[in-house]
Amino acid sequence: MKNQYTLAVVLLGSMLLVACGGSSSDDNAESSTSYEITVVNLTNNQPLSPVAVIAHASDFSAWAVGSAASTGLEEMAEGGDNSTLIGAGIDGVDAVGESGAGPIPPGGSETFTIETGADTQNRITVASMFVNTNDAFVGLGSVDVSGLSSGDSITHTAPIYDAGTEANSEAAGTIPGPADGGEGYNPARDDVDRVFRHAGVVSADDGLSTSVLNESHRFDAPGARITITRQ
Amino acid sequence: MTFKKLLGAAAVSMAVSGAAQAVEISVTLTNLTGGMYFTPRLLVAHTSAVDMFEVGTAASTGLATIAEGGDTSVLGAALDATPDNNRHQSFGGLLAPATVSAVYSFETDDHPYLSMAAMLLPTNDAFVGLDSWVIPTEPGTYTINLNAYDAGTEANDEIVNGGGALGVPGIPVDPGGNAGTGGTGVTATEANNTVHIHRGNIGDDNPTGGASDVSNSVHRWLNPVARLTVTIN
Repeated sequence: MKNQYTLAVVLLGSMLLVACGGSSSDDNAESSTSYEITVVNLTNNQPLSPVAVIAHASDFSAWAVGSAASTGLEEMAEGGDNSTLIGAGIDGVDAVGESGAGPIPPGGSETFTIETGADTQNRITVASMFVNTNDAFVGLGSVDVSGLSSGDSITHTAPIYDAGTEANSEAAGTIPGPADGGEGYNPARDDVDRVFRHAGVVSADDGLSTSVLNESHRFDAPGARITITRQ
Repeated sequence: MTFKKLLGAAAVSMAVSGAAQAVEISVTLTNLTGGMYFTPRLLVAHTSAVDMFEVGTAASTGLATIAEGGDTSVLGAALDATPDNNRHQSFGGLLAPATVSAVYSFETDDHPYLSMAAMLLPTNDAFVGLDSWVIPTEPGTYTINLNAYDAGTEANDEIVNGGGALGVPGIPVDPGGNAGTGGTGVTATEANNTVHIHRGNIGDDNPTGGASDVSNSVHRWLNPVARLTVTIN
């Protein structure tokens, strides 16, 4: 099936990147810290794309409400592919990226670790697409973990953002997740081109007759529960 | 006692800023929505004698005038009647969806509370509000998420007809130009006539008919709708 193919490609992309993230952190082994990340999908019917995690310095942010999304963020929010967001998107930045192993189904969770490359990388950003949407993502930006001692953890619930890069048409062929099996990333930007808080999907059941989504795909904030534990 | 605490707070502020009575804060508002505009923001620093709005309580005429048409002058005039217990100022023009306002410098006159209101467009009587937030005395930057309230003073018919004056049904305008025409009206009644959390626009997908003139894929929102960043020097 088309949607399975799409997710398989996404998954393969993430696994390649896992190897990259691991090798770059080896360069500064003596100053690395491991953080365990646990993400719980709180939605009814929105699988999460493979989770992107970035450990970075305080002067970096992966997105800001009111500012245009980076290409890496757009690729993840529209198509679930986090490879640029945690790869080329942080080239030259004091940061390392890591990916979860695969999509997290509604009600599911995943735990994995990220190893920082320097002591300055004491902010953690976590992001993942709601795959049954045009360009929604759940995310926590720049969580300050500098005060954590070994074994300490921080838990936050995460809001849902709209990348602002693709109109929320909910139309057939525009949503990559299993609800549609449509297109993922498209470089055209036909929405406000600024990140904002998502208003939720409308769905055909609630009055958008051209929507491929039904009532089960609707959501409200928060979209995920995220726990960060210093190892 | 609150009053003693306030004196203590004032002393701390003065020690930091070196300015007696004058306490200037910086305020920035971020519109977190993707399709709603905010009208000019009325900021009020005040004592406990002033309550700009209270959930579960009917809106004042001044607040209703903001929520139905974005006009801050009526509430401003009402506040002017008791100048010793508040200082108010209206800031900015329209704040577009997914944008960050300019940084406003606001003189609080050492009043302990901060409140704010601005209408959401296009709605009948929705406003983004801050209710009597205690202004910290510790210097720093504070972030507050704000919800959308329904003033409870006008039925949410969702008909864009230019009706922005107090008591006139309808929505004044959609500044973004995404509203339709020909709506028959979502409702003619308002069940809750007190200030309450807004249930959101319902909208429809028919730009030339249907019940609503607003778009269900552009003009809905989820809370919070705004983020207020306050810097205490």
